Amino acid sequence: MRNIIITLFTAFFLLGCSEDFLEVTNLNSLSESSFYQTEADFEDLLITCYMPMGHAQTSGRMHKLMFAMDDRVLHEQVGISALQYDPTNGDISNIYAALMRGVFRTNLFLQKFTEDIDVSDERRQSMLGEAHFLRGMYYHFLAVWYEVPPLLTEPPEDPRVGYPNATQEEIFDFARQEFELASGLLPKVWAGSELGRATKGAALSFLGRNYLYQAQFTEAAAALKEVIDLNVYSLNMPQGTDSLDYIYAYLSNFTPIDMPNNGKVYPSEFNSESIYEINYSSAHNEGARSSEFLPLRRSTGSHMTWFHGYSAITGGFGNIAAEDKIFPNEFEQPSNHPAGLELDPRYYAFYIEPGDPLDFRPDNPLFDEVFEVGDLNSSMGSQKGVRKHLYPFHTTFTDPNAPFVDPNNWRLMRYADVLLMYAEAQVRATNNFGDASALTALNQVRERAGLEPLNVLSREAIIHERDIELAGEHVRFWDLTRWYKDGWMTLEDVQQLKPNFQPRHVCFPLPLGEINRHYGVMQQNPKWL
Amino acid sequence: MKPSFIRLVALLLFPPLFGYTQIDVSGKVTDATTGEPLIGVNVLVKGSSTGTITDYDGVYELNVPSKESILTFTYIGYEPTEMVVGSQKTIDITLATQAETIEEVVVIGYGTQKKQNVTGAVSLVSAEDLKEANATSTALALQGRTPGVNISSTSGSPGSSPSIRVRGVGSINNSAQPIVVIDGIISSIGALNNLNPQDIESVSVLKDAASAAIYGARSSNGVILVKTKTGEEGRLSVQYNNLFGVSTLPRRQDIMNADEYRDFYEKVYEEHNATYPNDQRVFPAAYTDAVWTENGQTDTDWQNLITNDLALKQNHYLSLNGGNEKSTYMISLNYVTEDGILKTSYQDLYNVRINSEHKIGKRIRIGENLAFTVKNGRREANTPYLTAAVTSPLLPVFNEDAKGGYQGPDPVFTGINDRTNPVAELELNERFFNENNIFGNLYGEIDLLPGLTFRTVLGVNYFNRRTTNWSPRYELVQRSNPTATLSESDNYARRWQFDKILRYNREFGSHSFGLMAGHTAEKDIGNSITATASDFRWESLQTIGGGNPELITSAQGIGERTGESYFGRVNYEYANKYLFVGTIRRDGSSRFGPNNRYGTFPSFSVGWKISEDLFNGPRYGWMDMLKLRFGYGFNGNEPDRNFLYETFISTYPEHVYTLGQTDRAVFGAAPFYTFGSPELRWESSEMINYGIDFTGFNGKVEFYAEYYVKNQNDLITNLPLQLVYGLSGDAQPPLVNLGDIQNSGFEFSLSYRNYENPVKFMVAANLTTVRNTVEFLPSNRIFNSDGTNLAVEGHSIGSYFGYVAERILQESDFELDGNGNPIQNEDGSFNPLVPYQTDFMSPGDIKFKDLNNDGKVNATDQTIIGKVIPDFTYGFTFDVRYKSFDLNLLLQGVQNIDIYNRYRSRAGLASGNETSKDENKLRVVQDYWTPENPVTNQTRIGLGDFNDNDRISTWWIEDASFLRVRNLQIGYSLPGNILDRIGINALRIFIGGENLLTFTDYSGYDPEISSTSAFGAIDDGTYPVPRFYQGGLSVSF
Repeated sequence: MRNIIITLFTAFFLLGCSEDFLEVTNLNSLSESSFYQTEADFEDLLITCYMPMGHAQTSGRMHKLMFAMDDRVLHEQVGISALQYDPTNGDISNIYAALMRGVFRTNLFLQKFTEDIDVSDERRQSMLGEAHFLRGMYYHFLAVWYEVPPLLTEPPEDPRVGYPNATQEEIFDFARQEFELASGLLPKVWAGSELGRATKGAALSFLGRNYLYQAQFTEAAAALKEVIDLNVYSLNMPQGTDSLDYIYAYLSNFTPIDMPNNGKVYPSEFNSESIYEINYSSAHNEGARSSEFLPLRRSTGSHMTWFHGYSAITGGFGNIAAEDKIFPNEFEQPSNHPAGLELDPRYYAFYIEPGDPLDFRPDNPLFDEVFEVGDLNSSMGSQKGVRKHLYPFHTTFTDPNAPFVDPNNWRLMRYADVLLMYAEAQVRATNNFGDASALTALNQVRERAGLEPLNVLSREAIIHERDIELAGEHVRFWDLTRWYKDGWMTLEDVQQLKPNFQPRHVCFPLPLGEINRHYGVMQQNPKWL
Repeated sequence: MKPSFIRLVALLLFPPLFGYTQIDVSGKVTDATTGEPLIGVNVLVKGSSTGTITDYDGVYELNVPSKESILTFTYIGYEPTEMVVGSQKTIDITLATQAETIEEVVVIGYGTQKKQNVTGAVSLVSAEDLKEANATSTALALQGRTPGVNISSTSGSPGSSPSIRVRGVGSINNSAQPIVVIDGIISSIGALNNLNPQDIESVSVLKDAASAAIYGARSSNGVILVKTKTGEEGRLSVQYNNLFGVSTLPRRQDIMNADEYRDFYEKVYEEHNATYPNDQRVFPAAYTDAVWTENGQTDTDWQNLITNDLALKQNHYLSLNGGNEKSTYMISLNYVTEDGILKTSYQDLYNVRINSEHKIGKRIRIGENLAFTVKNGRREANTPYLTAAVTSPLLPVFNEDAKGGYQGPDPVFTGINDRTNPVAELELNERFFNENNIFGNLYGEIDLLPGLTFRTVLGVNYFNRRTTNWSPRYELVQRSNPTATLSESDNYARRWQFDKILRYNREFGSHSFGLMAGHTAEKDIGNSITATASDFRWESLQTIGGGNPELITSAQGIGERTGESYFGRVNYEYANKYLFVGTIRRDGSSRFGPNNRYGTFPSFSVGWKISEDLFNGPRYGWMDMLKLRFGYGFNGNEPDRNFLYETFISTYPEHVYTLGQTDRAVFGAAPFYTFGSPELRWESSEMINYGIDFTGFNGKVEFYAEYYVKNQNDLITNLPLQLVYGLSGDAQPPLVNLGDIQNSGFEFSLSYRNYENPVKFMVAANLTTVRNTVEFLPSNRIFNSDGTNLAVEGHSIGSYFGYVAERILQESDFELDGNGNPIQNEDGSFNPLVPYQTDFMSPGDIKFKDLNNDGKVNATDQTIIGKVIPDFTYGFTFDVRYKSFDLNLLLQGVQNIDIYNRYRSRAGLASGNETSKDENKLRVVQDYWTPENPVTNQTRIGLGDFNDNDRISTWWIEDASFLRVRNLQIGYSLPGNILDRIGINALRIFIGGENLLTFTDYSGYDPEISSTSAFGAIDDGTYPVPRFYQGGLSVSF
């Protein structure tokens, strides 16, 4: 009896668990082994290739840096405004990370998207085109902003090795190939529900810009001419002759909603002038991060409000103001403007001054509210705001139903920019300031503003037109660096506009943290040593 | 013969009438050596449930059935004694203290061991020690009492969880907290937090490999073993304790008032406009236009307003203890309500414990230890002490006209200062939590053969935590909340653990064997759901469904872990002199990939009672015991996340992009949410332990010393993936086993007790040293998320990394003109003669050291500037009793540890911050640098910190060594003659305090702040540990 009991207990004791007891399943995430199989999987992956530029963190930091560096916009981050940043700067690192994320995802897409995936030929072409365009775009920005990062054309696999720097030429050249490839694969237009995807025109426009940044003007002009010849794009023109017609024709390029004026409507997002937009939305609410930001809920779709709202509306940080000492004088004073405007209508679209209505639309409650001195963070020292990026979406300051994220798309490439780039490239390629096609292109932009056409171009005229037309669109600072590098501007010219500008500021430093992670293989850009 | 026959018949027929001739017996029980009366001795009629306990004078009275009855006298720590009643009416008994053979027993993993024969490094805390501590938190009750164990509060918030470090820090990414095993059930520090110290019988801290390795893969940070009280055979005894107390802010920061604020900024604007002629700033009118309220000019003391002057605390504890030889029980009820010193924060705790054991026949015992805990409270997300310092004193607190009733930052009142109203934030945003926890076990034990016992334990832990964060719509001007929001989260976790253990103990002559073998399986399941809603139409409808349906968001996380282990131990003792213990555990965990799912952790330890062999002559009569110990073994540390071995795809909400004019959301999926690490395995530590134990002078002196070296290998570290891997924000980089850390140190403990004189006292002191070094870390530097602390080879983990601040720059550090004034360029900058720091460095800024002598101060000039692991920690206890009075004092000290006082780098920096919000500051900034006031430790004043003076540097790193009066208590026990009259057994009243006095050079609120990660302590205005005054009584019936 005793032996039986002991045997029973010993047997019970020895009884372990079944073999699969230690197998558990992660119910929170998809596992890689079951992914990359169907067309739907690749559509999902492709959409995430678009994301890095639009993601809240990236956009917010991009806007913060780019606005702060711009000489026409003042930013409360006075350090960055004064170009006081170094390789440890978190924003610079974050944007680098976002661009590399785009590179990684497009690389992964192009590696995994093999012939075996069941998808129609037409869609296969456009999907490949989108991926190549995006990879080109990320590398284009890497080349312009960071000059010498590593060039990876496939996803990396061994985290224990580092990657060497590429030259800026190699990266520009790779981006060029991508844009060329993409322009052959992408459709000219997308259906309404797909707007936001890359198009042939976007690929060609970036191709042109890519050449322009390398001072290859003939090739740039050729690519940009192709965009013009697509006959897809046209400037958003005034449909009447009152002052709002002129202002809205331009301003609706920056508003989230179409602008109505006396029965006429000026289309905003994805209008005829739009070539490539970062598509923001207020629909996806990330939720407030802390009480500090409660009134301005962040969203995955947009980070815009967080970083450049009126302080009174948002209470946030990263507020901007418009430079009000030098830049106002740059605006032309047409003697006989069709709408009788005293200044170039783009002035009224760029500036909002104390006493101005917050909204030009008389039916909008904000029409009766005026911009006040206290609406701006006085630490920036300017009394004027940037209307172009602050078009009020809230109907009142305290409207509880207003969306607290800004759904306004960021226009990354506009047809006006293409026309101006073409004018510059054509003039500089032919060395002929009277080139007819260049004049036509640039005068289209002036015509939309109701300004007299020019009969002959000049370096100053081209610089001026880009300055006014593209003010505060993150293009200006890189135009200055480009002109400094290709000889159109001297160091002193640039320093007049950005007093602390030094030769190293033509690009960002490579992030120190990233250099440390490459085991000595990747080096800092010598300009930043 | 006849009478006795009749009597026998009568006895059979009418037993009650004739059988029990009741006899009254009384007597006094005293200590055999001291002659002191013993209070609370169990006196029981053997074989019955009749019994009593001795009173304050050691006296008992009892009815016994017959002269043949046997009385048993039992008392903890004394030899049980039996006595036949016979014809005596008065039976006085002396009880002898227990002889060595059955002396104090130590709880070790899956069993017990004689204290004298312990060979590992085990720190013990008894119920008696905990009673003196009178703390309501078990972890804090252990503070300062256990060498090798450093316990510090992370926050003074009621119910906050402390940080516990056993023998240094041995992990970078993983938890460095020890595991907590309560009545055999493996758990974490959180469980310790729910445990009432008064329910505890003993705590053992297993510190070295040899004692902890029986817990294998989770033991390398040490193991805290807790045994709760069990019922005792005998009469029902009732214990009631209460405590009332008040907490106060132990220390205030000296912050400028409204007048000083205005004067300061007047100077700041003057100075700024003089220095930067191109950047004229207007001194805000609000600072000079006195804002008149009914009571005069607004001068708000925010620090004062967010603090409760007297935060109340009450603790009530009731326990019932008793049983007979078949069943024993212990039931306790505990209620603690505690207000925080930060306004609105509080916690209520309800705790019920039921421990019982039942004997079935002679061989089977079954029982349970179950605790049910409920906690409710309100806790702030962020400690607002820094906000309180920087908010303008010109901001009024209230505004009856504003929704919510508070005034927010408004240029009219506060100019540029737009810091929020911290009182409004505290009062308006309601953050409640509710926690329910069932924790305990059911066990059965059967004696199979003499010495062979089988035990099985089923442990359960059910945990539910619910938090509700409600922010109503309110108007605070620049900090308004235009829409109400509600966030509800529900965390649910359950765990079971099933142990089967066989034990065999046998003695053959001088040989004594012990064998233990066991198997355990366990499973943890966690599930958390969070939902948020906003835009409430009806604010009285505070449920998720009350929000705008389109704005409701939710998220869920599910976790699961399973584990299976085999373990065993061999004890061998020869002649009670030569001791050996060997253990082994094989662990399996679902957290690892199929290739590395199992790990084996062996250990052994040996002891030699050298006193028995070498010092046992009459000359050594003063020496009770001298023992040498040595131990060696391996322990593991498991990562605290699941599913690390597999690569996962990241999905919503990280990946969503919109297409189309109507903002059509398109969801995406991308690599990597986790970057799988299929080869990941346990962190493994190898430890050597040397120990010496001494007791002498009849147990009056005890001394322990330990030296250990602990090498933590295969550290689980984040492989710092290059950005070319495209990880998204929420993604987790792969973990790899890379890096070694060494901890080594000495631990000493010395105590002296003398209970022979009328003045009975005990003094004890302990000292712990830790030397921590990152020995090997090929990936070079691993930073914390703030980028302020790192792990780097050759330094202790979590060292501060930053600049070396030398002094304040003077005018002579810049190019001077003919008049001896510094030359100022058009943009306001100066031309430094010292290494370049920033474009706008100027006299009065901090001079940082150019470490590499390259002529400029930049990121490459950062170095190690402080450490977060103290050189040594120490504790001192003094316990004295005289007649009815007793006094207990506990001091605790920490030496040579640094804190990054980031609070001071913001509120104590005269030059502004980058966004120049005219923040209020500490009074010390009034001594700011000027050419006329060059000898100061304050910078210049300014509207922008252009020199980045607030960067992490030695300027802001402070020595946070401290010596603290942790606990002081004076008690008075009512004399027996009074107690007799009111019919109670013992009554003690006490007054005392915790944290009464702190000696430190640290300038912040509290030098004790600590971090829950291995990485350092940053003081952003931490919730300080309150000073606590208390009084109460304990009574037993």
